[in-house]
Amino acid sequence: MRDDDLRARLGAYAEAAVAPGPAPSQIRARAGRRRTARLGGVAVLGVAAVVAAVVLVPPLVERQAPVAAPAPSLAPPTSTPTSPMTTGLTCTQVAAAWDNALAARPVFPASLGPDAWLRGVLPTGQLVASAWVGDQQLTAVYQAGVQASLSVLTGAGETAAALAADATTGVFFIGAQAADDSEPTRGRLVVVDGPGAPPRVLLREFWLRSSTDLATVRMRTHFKIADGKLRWLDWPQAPGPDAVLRLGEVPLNETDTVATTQTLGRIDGTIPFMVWKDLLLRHTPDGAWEAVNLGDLAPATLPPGWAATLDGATRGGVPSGRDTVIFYLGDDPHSAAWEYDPATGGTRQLATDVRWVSAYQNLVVAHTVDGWLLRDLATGHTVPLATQAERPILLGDPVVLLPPYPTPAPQTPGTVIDWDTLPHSIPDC
Amino acid sequence: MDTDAFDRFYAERFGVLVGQVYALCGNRAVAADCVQEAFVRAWERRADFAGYANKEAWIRTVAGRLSVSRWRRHRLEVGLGEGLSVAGPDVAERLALHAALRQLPVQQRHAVVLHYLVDLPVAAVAAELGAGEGTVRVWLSRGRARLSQLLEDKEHDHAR
Repeated sequence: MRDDDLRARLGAYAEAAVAPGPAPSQIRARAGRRRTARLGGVAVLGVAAVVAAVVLVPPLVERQAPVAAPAPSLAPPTSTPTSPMTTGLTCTQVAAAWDNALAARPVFPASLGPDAWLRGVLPTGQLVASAWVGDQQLTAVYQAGVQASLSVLTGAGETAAALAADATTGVFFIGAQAADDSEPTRGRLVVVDGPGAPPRVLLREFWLRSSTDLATVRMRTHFKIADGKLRWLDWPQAPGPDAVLRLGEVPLNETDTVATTQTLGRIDGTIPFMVWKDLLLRHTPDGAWEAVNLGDLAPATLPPGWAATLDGATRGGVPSGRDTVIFYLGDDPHSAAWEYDPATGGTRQLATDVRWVSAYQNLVVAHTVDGWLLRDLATGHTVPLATQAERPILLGDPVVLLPPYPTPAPQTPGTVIDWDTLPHSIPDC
Repeated sequence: MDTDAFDRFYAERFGVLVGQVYALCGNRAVAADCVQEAFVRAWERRADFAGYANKEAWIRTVAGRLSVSRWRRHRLEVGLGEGLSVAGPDVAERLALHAALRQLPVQQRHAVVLHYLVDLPVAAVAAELGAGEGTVRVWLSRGRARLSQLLEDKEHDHAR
């Protein structure tokens, strides 16, 4: 075939597809509507960030009268098979086992008493729980099944959030209880150097959310302990030409010290920045992705296929329990959830029409407009769950269900379930 | 970029870009959606967009990437005829070309579309695809040969 012939045939082929588009004013209006929506949408991203980075913004928690709680147990519910891969369960039985486990009360550190509630899970896998002690709040970081914990007692009217912890050290934010999640969150940072150690003030003044003004508010998230320092990312909630991402850090071995910040670069507020392992990946206003190693801030190579995969993402985050990135295409509640493996560049679709998903091994739990679903990627089978959970169910080992936010009740403290006590294979229903 | 300039650019290039992205992704509805979305994103960053030397390439690249994402989401890799524009004359020829394009590896298809449909020189195709000129020449050569073979086979089938 001659070049001219190919050109002519392709031209005719493409020309047949040409159709008038909407009026340009509609395109501009769509951009305007989305910008407005994103201001709220970033709150959704904030939820993902809370899960990914476990920034526990202090919730408003009303003190609850003690109620008799069932004996705490991490043991599987009686209907749960002891072998995770037990075959022969119907899909109804699989769903019942999961629902029973999600409704079971977890074991919290004994120091928290009987009315504790789960606050979150740190990237290191440690859990965070709180309880009232008189008119003060006690917050602890602990390992599931291990009683030793790092804990801090707040002053009256204050609440604590665990920002980061490693094997020996915990960093807490202590501040006044915010009236709601649009309030500025101001307080102090304290460090606990080991189980039972008294907390010491690291920074006297600190904020997690800088102001109530949506146009200028900045957030601090992605807290991490590394090289003897606490590090975090500081970013604006609203996109704009001056949107810059900053890295803050403070040495942990000092007391009543000051933090330093440095600008990492401008960010495109329309596509979320992401942290995968030690890589920070940000979408610049020029439309390009840039990667930097958070350890030494040296430029890094983008994982294979990153730009092509993530450019269309409407939300993104790092799921629990896996070294992959879950991202969403399309708008809530009809998003499609995809999983991307930066190590290989491979992708796979996890679920459609979802608000939220979490994945671990072969299972995906998805929150859809119709409720919660459990999907077995190995068999392709799906079963609905009866749980009415409002917060994300985080698959991993352990599986974590956070209580309602911001007012957990004693009867809904969230739960922690040993992965191996749950059935993992869903048969054909 | 002011409103008038954006509207003019949109009015002049929207249809052409839909045709180009359609040739890349093989689905007219997806192509139209993705080009619209690319224009929305351009307007969102109009201050930067105004300074881009090749605005059409930017729209095409963003729309092309979006179409890949849409394909992944909806499994829209179309079969023969699905999502195809069947209006107008020469439907049989366009069906044949549609099917043949789908059989090209993605990189070859993109190179062929950009060079023979968009009429970009090899250097510009290489820049848009992020590949070397030599690589693009290989893709073009193989793509054209494969298309010729597929279309000739189809014509022989019809002749029989």
